[in-house]
Amino acid sequence: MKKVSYYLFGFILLTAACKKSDPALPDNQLAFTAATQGLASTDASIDITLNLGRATDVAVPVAIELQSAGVTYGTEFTTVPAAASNTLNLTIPAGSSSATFKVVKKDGVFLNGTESVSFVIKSAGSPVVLGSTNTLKLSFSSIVSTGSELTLQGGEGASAAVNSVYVDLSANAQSSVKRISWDLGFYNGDDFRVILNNTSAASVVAVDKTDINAVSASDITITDLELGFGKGTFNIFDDVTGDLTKTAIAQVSATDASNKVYVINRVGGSGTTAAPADLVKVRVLRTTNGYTLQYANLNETTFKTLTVTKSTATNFNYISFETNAPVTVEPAKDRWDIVWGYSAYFTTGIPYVFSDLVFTNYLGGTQSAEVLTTTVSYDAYAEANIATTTFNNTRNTIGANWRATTGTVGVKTDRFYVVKDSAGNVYKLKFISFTTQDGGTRGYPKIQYALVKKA
Amino acid sequence: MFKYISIVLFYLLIIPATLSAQNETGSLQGTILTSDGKPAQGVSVQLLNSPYGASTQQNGKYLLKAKPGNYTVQYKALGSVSHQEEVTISAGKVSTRPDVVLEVTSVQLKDVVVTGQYAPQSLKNSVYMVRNITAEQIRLRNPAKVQDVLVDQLGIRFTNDLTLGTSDITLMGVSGQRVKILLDGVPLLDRGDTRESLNQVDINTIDHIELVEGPMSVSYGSDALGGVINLITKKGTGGESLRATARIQEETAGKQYKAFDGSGIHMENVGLNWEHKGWQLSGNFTRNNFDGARLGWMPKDQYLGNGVVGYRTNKWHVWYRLDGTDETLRNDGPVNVETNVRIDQHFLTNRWMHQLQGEWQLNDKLSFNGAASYTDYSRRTQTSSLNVLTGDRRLTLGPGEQDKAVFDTKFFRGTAQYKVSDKVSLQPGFEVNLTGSSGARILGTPAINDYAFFISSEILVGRALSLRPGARFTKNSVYDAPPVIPSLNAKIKLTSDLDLRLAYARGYRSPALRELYFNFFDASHSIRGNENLKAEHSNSFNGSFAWRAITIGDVSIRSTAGGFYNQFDNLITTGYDPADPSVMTYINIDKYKTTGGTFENTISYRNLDAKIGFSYTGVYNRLQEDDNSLPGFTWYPEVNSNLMYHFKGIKTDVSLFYKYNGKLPAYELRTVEGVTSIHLAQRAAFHTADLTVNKFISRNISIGGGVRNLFNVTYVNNTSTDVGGAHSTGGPVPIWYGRSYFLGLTFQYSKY
Repeated sequence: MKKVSYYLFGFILLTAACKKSDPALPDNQLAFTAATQGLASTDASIDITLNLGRATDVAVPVAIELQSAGVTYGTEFTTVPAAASNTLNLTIPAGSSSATFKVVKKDGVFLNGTESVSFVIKSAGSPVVLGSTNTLKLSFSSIVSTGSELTLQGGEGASAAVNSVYVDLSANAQSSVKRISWDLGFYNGDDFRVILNNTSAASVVAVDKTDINAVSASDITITDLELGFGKGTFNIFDDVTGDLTKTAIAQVSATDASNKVYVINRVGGSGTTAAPADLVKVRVLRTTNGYTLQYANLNETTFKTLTVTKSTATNFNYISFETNAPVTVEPAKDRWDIVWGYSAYFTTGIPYVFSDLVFTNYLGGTQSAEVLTTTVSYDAYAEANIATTTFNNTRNTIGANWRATTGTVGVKTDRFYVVKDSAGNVYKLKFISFTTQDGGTRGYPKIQYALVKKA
Repeated sequence: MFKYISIVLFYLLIIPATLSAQNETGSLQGTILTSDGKPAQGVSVQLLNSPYGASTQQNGKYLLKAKPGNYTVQYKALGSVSHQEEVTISAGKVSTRPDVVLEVTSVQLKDVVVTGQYAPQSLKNSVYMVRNITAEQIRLRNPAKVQDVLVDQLGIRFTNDLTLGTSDITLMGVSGQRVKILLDGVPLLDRGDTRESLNQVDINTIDHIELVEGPMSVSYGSDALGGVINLITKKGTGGESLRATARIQEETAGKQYKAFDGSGIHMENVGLNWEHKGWQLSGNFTRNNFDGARLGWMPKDQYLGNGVVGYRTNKWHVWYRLDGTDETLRNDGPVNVETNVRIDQHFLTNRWMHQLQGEWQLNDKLSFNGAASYTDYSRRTQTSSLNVLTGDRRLTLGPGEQDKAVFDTKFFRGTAQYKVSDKVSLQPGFEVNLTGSSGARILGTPAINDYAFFISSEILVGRALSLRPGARFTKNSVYDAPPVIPSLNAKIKLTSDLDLRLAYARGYRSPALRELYFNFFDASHSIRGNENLKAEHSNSFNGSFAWRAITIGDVSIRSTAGGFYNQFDNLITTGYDPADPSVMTYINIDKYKTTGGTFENTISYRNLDAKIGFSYTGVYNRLQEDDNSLPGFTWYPEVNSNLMYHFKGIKTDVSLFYKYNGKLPAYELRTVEGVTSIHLAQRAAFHTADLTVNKFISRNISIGGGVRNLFNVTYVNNTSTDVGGAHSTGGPVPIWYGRSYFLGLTFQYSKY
């Protein structure tokens, strides 16, 4: 009888005891984005960023030691914030996941380019752990990287991360730009073209009028602007291959009377639009070396004007309706190779808005090729293979081809890419992770690249 | 907390039982047989005007202890057939009664049903058409889970979601959330749309399964509009007994197998049931481990336990039962060769279900039943990364990757059964259902409280007609429940061998908590509940002829032919939120219908039991509203057959369970390159069959082995883009993981 109750009691305990303890959270690692970077001779300063694996919930003090070679702090360079006795103290505020400091070259200082300063993270407040890239060697000249690993800082938002990230392989540099920080891009090349912001899934419809003040909500069918989730057509946003002859807004004519009014929904992608009052009407006119933009909210009867002058440094000049001013989006056209992020694109013949699209700087002269590991492995790919690699100058060779979101979700390990930058440096590039299922974090894809041939 | 209190309670209840000393008592024992000479199981043996009683075991035997004295002993089967005699019990002695033969056949005795009945009733006299999957059928099937027993039933389909590792049931074209799953009449809690609970109950504790098609909303409330599946657990028999059981079964997963752990199914079960002086104590523990990962089927580790404490006298019976489920579904990802990291997603489910049930037979005219239950359910999604080189395992941080949803239900139902006269019985009752939930994927901490009063009556008109009208009145704290749910069942005895049953019932399903308050947004989900949902309701008509006992020599045939028509309104389904097409939500759509018929035959010839059945089910084609040229229903046929042969001399049973699942067509809208058209999609037909051999090696030990899925079905071709599962975009549907083999050993020890 005792046995009976013993058994009964036993099994209850056994079931109750089947509680397993949870694994720990991952270490929150602090690291520089890359181990080497360069301050180009033409630049006066460079921003250096330290990133945490995730936002911290307590303020994290960080101490960085400066080890100079051929330069002296205060003589040839300084930092913002300032360093004292070769130690730079920073604080990553609670809720943030990064800290930035600036290295500033002093005016009128002659440098021969071999000088450098190394920044070594000495300590970081608990619970942060130092990552493997805890030293950054900053050269006082632009570098041609031999290779690195970068975690692209797409920011919050996971599968709709807030940033587009521009990457310059040779400089180990990345710059993150808020996707919705701009509205229109004005082409700096020979043609007169205006691009929409595909990265915010903006959409546009033309109105057969040239008087912007006369255009109101009654001139459009608002549902024509709906994009995403099965809605919309390829005519309401810019060509997915980046073909500038197929922009949604027609070429800006030298004849003002040919430049029609367009109505733009600034942020889309989920098959809905903003309220009519929040749509923006625009009309773009040509000037000798640039553009004049007229714009207003859809139901307004007066308009604002912005003048955009072509420059040679970048592919496009960007403006924002929000700030009513030019904004910096892409780096100088010779200072980026690829851009990663969310964009209006396509799937099986219909418009589709999604993330992890990688486009090359096709207007700046970057070329790329996809190589399957059945042809040659990433490790084995060397200078000799360049001759048999067919580079092309399209924008979307990499596109979304590098990862799978159905089936075995993760980066595709059966392929890698070869990127020839505008200077002629050839890099092999592979994707390490991009989402939980491959051990990464959505919005923070990890890439690895190595120099195959220096220009 | 609750579970610890219950453990203490459990123990407190055990102590008085274990302390009760052996008083000066005498014993009474004997055997009861049916009119065809077989042992009669489940016959109640009562010493009238005393608390002493028992019921017979599988071998027809009973043993009870009582104070010495003169008694009248009464043998009662199916609540009516009785036989009385005088006995004398003397202290310290065992008096053995001569064998008693009852006026009831073994077939009648086997088909006792309780679902929807005022008291246990023979199938023949039930106004409902109840399908009974008997203990013997379950034993011969050697199941590892409840699904194994139901899968070859007519009109039942299972769909498998390989992403979640769950299966859902469709009964007569009506999907899972409209089918009520009961454990001894008490509803099982499910977190969402799928009837996952069905496979979270230990099959080893199930005695038999009763299946009622069509709504039983008057008796069982919400959800019981497609039908009811009542899992009836093994009960004590009263009297004096000790029974120990142990079972071990090893099964392959297709061609994959690793002994005791890893690929395949590994089940071990131990159970103990002890009864003494009206007390019953029993416990069961099962490990049920499945691994089909190599074939794409998510491994599932289950630990299932339950315990029962009961006490009975001749007038009343009360018992407490605790069921515990600990389930881990493991979805272990592939290793990323770039990082040597693997992502493992585990779904951890804990279910504690407490039940307190009581029956009180005040006198011949009046009895009361009560059932109270409390279920405490949690399901976690735990995602972790494992570095396969270092063994370092860490939780991941992405949205939705760690989640815990908690649900609890408090349930109470009380009924009284009053026999107004020989012709009229009444059953009033009330039911309270309090459901609450919390978790990141649930908006707030909502609670739904449901109160219902119901009444039904069974009226005999003349000798041939029994009528059962009923109505249910519901008050719900969240949505407007239908004010009254009526039903009317009739059974007409056309001849002594032919019964006609006709039924009309209104069914309803209240929006589930998740449909109202679900809130789940991550990279691949945008789902929001809809607080404005209305209850679904249905009108159902069904009828059936039951024809029995063509007996020519040793051959006996029973046949049933039935038809049904169900029309649903306000059916809840998922759809895009009209205000935001990027979000899925739950919406009421107007109409849905199912109709069809079944024809089932049972043939017994000496040691052979054969069943063959056909069904033809039609499911409403909604697209007909857009295009009149399309048929109103799409139809699919099913055929099933069981052949069970008993070799007496070698105590061996050979059984074949077969089912043909016909082509399953559906008209659907298909959008190709922006152009939408109507398309006839089809899931291909397939056959399933299991062959089992069971042999008693000795009185205590039996061995069972066989082949499951003889036709080696894996994926079945499907041209639809919508296969009813959330995690499929069409293409072949997973049915099974290929032909599998099993071998099991059952040990059973009984002492009376």
